[in-house]
Amino acid sequence: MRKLSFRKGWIPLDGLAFSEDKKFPGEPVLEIITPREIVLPMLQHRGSPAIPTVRESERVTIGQIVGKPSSATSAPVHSGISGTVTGISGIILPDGTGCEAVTIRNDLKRELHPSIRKRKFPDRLSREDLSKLLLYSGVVGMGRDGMPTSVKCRNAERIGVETLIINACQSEPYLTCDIHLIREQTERVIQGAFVLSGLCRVKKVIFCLLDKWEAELQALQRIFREHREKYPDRDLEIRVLRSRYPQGYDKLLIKALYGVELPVDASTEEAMGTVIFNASTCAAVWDMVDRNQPMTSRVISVSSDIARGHNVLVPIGTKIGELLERVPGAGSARKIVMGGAITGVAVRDMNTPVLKTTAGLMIVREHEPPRTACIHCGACVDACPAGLLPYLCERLLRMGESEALEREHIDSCISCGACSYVCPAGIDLSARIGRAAESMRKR
Amino acid sequence: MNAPYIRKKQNTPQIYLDVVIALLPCCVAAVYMYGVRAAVLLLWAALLHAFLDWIFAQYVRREQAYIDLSGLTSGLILVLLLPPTVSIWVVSAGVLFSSVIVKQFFGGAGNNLFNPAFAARAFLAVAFSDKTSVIAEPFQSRFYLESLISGPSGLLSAAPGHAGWLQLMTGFFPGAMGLTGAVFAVAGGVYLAARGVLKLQTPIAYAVTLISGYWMFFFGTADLKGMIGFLAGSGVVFCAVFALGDFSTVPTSGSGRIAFGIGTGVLTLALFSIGQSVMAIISSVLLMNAVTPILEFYIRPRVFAHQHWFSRKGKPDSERFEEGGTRA
Repeated sequence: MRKLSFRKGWIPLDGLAFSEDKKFPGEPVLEIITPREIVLPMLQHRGSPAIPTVRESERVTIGQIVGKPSSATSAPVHSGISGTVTGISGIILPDGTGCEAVTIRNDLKRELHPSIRKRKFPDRLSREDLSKLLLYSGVVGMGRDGMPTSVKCRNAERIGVETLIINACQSEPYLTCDIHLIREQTERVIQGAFVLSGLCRVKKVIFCLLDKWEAELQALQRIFREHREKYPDRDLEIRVLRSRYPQGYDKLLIKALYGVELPVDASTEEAMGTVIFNASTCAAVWDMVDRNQPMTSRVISVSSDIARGHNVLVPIGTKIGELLERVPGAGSARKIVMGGAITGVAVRDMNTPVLKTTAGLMIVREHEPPRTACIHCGACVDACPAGLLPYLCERLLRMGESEALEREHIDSCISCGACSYVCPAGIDLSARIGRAAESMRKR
Repeated sequence: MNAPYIRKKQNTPQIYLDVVIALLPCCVAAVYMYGVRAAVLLLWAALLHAFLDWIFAQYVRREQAYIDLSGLTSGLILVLLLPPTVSIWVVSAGVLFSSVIVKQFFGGAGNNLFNPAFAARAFLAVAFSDKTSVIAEPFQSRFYLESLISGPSGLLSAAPGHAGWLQLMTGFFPGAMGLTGAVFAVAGGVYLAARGVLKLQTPIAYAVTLISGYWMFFFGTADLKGMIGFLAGSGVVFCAVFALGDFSTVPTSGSGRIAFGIGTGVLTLALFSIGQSVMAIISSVLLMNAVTPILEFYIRPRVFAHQHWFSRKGKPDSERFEEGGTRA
């Protein structure tokens, strides 16, 4: 099968240059975590925060709603454990936003909310029912964007999209939670994708995977063949993309699939008639349709360049300190990063909860690259998928040449971090340019 | 440290160390041919260059929390560009020019417009033309040290004779110390390319231009032997690896590098047809270095979802999208 890709970027192979464990990421292992206490922030999505619906010392069960949506672009929050609410207080999330958070202590009874049960005929649900379920489920985009899926579906239907893309290329090194779901729970992902395609009134579904997952690709192709026999009206396709960072970024995905380059702030729905969902999101959607279970837990990759990584199933809101207790080699001296090692945020507070959008928890070696002057080596230029000259942009930023920066199209920066990764001088190119690009786009 | 929490292991001191390692075959060959003189000159130039760089950085209070090895590479390259009879004073003058004027006045390693060693070689050719043009027979008088202090004397000079195949490839014939050894330069280049320091666009564009240009220039009289003699004997290989592979003074984009290689090749051929071989290579590199910022500005990668400034055909995707026309 033809391997698609965009132009540039760099290739994180299995034998990662920065990894001491060359075999990683070979076998994702799944472990289920039962936390003692969870903290549920009310703002884990894009939009307005949810409003807490529980009071202190109230008893909650798994799947019970603890925060209701406050507006049309908002998502409810559900408890992932059974226990008692011990407090409602303010919290600062790793990205700097603040919101209310509900703290629940686990009573280890694993009591399910009575509404959670297997649906006998999930196929018979009407579109209105499905869209109501989705709104109630609190599913948000589990990649990086965190857009409530119900909002995205509504939007896609309004625009009238034609293609649904399931983005399963987690091109960032060490992240394997999406491919884990595709491997272990293929049916969940596919069924979820079909629910979403029904909601968006889309016929064509395309799965996008990286070529490094050969075994998964073959298995998926076999399953798709069976599916086509079972449901002839469904149009399922698989596209293989070259393992290359940042392949999972939606504009670069569109470039690889259709050869069309969209500006950073364009919407793929309007421009291309395609809506992109994450593979984990699909699995969460199917949970709601199949078992009436809202989004209360997710698979995240706990991994690092030191310890061997594995995937864990955690209730949302689990404190990262509790999660790290299970990881050998995760001492206190290391840097903990929420999200991927390239685009994530370093956290110091071990009480930070796992959010709906947290794809991974990275324990990275504390190493400062030697900071030297720029030696004009051109590594950043070769790596930049947006075709910028990062070293020049950084120099112009230091000089405060905003007009020249506009000429350089600095607003095309997608903050992928490729330039910083390759820079031998250890200059924080991506962080500075990305920030400037953001502010320029806002103007 | 900011967002990417993992970084590539390659760093600046390592890159310069790689260049030093890549220069070692040429240095060893020079010492093998010209004995103690070459060894003393190489060591002296490298250490003096690094020392001057450091002193200047201290003088202007440039923040430098790392070991700057770029001086070693410049010092070594400068000596390898000179004939073996050169005196240590001339070399010191060249190193002073290379370090202070060419490199540090422009802002230190990476900010220099010209390749320091090549610029210093050109400076020496102008300032001490009589003392930098006397070549010597290799393998003779390996322990003759008088020329280190007093400069070249008539005794040591040798006329460039006819070189055989083996000599042509290994550079064991009279000439500049490192410039003649094609295989050693290629070995260094292969190492640099394997380490990801040398980007191959420039040397390849240079080689293609030289080879095709040779056949066009000397149409009728050109033959394969003459071409190989020209490529191996004139020092263009050394130049291709260590001047065109000098990332600081060539454009950063792939297309810019190719343009740089082609430009240098054309200039080299043009200057060769006028005369003197070593200066033809050096001045062609320096002339192209001077236009590097211009190449950098006009020949650059296309920005995602934008068009090249020179492209007027069609509209960028962004504008087509505004008209609502890209629906698949």
